[in-house]
Amino acid sequence: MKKGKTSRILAVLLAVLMVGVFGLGMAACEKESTDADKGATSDEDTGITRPDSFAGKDILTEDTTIWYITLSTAGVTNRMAKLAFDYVIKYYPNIKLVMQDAQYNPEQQVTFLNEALTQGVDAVMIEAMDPGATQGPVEALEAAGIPVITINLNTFATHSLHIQGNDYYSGKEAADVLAAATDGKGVAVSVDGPQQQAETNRMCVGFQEQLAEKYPGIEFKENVYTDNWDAAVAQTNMATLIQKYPDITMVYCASDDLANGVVSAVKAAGKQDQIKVYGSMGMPDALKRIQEGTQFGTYFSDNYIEMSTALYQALYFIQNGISMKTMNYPATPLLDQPTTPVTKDNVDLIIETSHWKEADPDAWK
Amino acid sequence: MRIKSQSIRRLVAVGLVLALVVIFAITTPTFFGARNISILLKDSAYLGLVACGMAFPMIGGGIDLSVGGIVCAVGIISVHLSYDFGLSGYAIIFIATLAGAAFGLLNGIIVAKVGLTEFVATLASGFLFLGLGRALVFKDAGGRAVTRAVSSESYLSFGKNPLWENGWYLITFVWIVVAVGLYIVLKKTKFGLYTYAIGSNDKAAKMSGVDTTKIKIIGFIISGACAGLAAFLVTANLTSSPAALGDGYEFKAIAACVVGGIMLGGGKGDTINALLGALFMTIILNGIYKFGLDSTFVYIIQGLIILLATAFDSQFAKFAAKRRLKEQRLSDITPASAS
Repeated sequence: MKKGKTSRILAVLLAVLMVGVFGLGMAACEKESTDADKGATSDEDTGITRPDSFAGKDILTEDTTIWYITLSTAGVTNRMAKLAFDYVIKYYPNIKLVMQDAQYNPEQQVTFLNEALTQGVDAVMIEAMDPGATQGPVEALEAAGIPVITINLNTFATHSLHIQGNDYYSGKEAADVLAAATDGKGVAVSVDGPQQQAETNRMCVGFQEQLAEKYPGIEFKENVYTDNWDAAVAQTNMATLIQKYPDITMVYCASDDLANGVVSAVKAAGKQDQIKVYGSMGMPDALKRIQEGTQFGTYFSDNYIEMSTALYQALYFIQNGISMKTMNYPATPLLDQPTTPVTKDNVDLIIETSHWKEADPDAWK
Repeated sequence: MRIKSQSIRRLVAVGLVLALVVIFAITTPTFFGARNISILLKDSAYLGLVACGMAFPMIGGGIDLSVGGIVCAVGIISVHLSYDFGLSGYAIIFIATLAGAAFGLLNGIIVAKVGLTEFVATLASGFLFLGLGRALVFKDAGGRAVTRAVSSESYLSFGKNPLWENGWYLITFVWIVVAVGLYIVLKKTKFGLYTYAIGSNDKAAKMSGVDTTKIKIIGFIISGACAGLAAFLVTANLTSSPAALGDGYEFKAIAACVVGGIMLGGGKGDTINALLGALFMTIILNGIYKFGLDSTFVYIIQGLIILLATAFDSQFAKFAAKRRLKEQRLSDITPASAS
């Protein structure tokens, strides 16, 4: 036999074997779906069998899996989320909560959503990075009876619930607070989150529109986007804005991480007395900066309450079999959280009443 | 019976893929589901297509770090062509491939004609393409970025729905056809032969009369075209074009090539290696998710795999060199003893 020919034959045989094994697997799966229990609906995509009647799952006794697909598992907000989730699930020993880190990658989120459907998890909570990219997989989950709850960042798909605490109206509120502090006069810019989230993350839009509608004395100059919510990028963006518009008097930031970068740029330019920086979310570092006087304000949206509400809602949906499959909502139900403006006047109260000290004890040492 | 070193490397890659399939099939209940297999092959296809293209610069002894940028720019252009101009998916797939090829041509000219090193040139052009993609992101009247979903049936037929219930996606077939086609190009054409020659010894190839400039440029064109094609297919799957499209594709594609058996130094491997590498990388991620491991492990495991594959290749190259030397000595001794 010719040299190398044997190895080629071997490789082909292995490849054929591999394809054969795949084929067998597919055939086995098809058989499983035809064997579904009578009187029940079998989802052929996933093999999940759910009763025709409107009934859910006993979350106290049955194994239950919930996925939380984040933009990133880094940062204090995720520690807060974990704190809230731990509090909720301690009463349910059968519940497994898995946090999936998408690393700011929309394709990764789509992979996770597809995987959640394949595994037949009981519910999914997600911060949807791209509303368009997540639409198809979210629709597929809901069609399979798996409820999806979006948190702060929405998707185009109609789904079981969207919870938000930091959107359009908090931007408007920021404009009101800053206008009140500057007698309705000045020059404003805004530092936004990533460009691809602009459609569902409308804080800066709220800020700009409120200024345009109510405060003619404040001239809005420019909105800049910040990749990955990165404070360092926000710092560079702000430094550029200061060079372009030396007379800036106020900056609205779509998060307190961004505000952190902006404060550094303002300090570097020596304009602390001229520029008021307003953030979003009421994160520990921001609250400390407000105490110190380097950041003018932020709004506080109780992340602990938001996350625990999302999880409680997920449990309720699982328990009662609620999803688009059973409810067929014409539009996604929306749950808005109230926000509280924070300035030096009330920052101490906010620090004491929030859960930040538990979620991030090091920040207060 | 002697087995070629490269065939052993191929068998190792096939063996690794099979081993993973067996492990995950035994340990996870949903791995062998029809849906999972179909999704797994679809996910492998994007990376696999980019890796098949990347194989050409890599076999030629170079690298192409611009593929992520090409995926971003071409993906966004593709969605614009559908949304703004109403072109059909069949026309756009052709244009996307051509656009990718044009970006590849630019890379080839910078590298082969201007003489910049592949690493720096393609890193820089990658940023350029990424910037172009970001600049072309959809915006509303107020200049704010918005997402536009593709609705054209012909466009979505490539990625949104499987060809039959629980079946494979068109993307998977496109990938296999491209991988096999490019394999034939590598193995059965003069261009393929010259690519191996340049990867093994650039100077020797040049002295033998090979037009290395032309061959390198064509290699980059193929790499760009594959990235362009992958970009179209990714957006057909996502039904939109996120600004973060293509993030990290260059490194994942390089990793797939290395794991599959394409040597970083050039001169070895083919597109079937790239195909196997992409399949391996996707299966391992799929398995990790099924085990319910924290997704931060993904990066650790990916890093370890690349490290092990590179170390294996380095040791394997030494082993192959020793074997060649031994064979050479034997062939030198045999005629002498016969006389």
